[in-house]
Amino acid sequence: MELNISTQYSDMLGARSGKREEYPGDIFYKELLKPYYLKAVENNEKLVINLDGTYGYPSSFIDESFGGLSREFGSQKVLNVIQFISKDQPGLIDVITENIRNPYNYNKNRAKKYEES
Amino acid sequence: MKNHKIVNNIFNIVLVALLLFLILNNTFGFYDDSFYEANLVQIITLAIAYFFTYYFTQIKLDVREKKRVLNEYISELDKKINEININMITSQNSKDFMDHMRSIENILYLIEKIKDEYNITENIDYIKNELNEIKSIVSDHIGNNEELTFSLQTIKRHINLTSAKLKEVLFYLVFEKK
Repeated sequence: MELNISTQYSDMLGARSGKREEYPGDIFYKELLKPYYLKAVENNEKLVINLDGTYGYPSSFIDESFGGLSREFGSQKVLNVIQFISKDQPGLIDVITENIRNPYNYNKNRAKKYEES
Repeated sequence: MKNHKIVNNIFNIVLVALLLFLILNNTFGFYDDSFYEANLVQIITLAIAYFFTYYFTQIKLDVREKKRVLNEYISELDKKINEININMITSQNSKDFMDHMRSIENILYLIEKIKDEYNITENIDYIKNELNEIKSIVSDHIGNNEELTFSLQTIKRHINLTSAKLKEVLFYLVFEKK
């Protein structure tokens, strides 16, 4: 099962949340990522997510969608089901995988930075 | 670079052929001329001298070439980071900024692979954190140009810190850390 973010959602991704036309992470999570993940689990198959073709991935979008999936279903389970394709930016797979592995780090780090500033 | 390799290969072939000629001429005596005569010790000395000269020159060239590429990547990174501007950040969904950040992150991803070899791990990790911070600030406010414009000063501070650290890395690549 494959999910292509640029063709099935948008090539210009938005922030954590927002209006539908801004293509935010929360709508992507609810309408695409979570249903596809559940279907892949149900069919006992891998979910291959193609990350190519977009202008780039905002950190908050990654945290809301992939981090959100990990917070809801557990990092190990998610990592067992999901695979990534990223020819445009090979390092992006590490970034997303790290976010899935430690889904609470992003917010913790942001909170710390705000306190410091 | 390609021409340099061709010349290098021709030089090696000529030297090996010369050594072979000396060995064969001394064994079978093609030319009965003292000019071509060489004893075993002379041939071995020549072969060893050739081997070490070639080996050490090659190693030095490889090290220099690797450093040159790394220097180029770091300079490119510095240039790209300093190109970040308010127009990129406030473009639709900050897409120009995101696209620009991807090219920055792709270069950094390559540098990260060799950071331990050049003893620049700490500095590269620092740069990565600063870049993540810039990206997070923009990511948190995509679509809100007023907030993004307000955050510009903070973003500039992170850009300056990153740029300074990159220059430090470049400096220590040339003038090795004591």
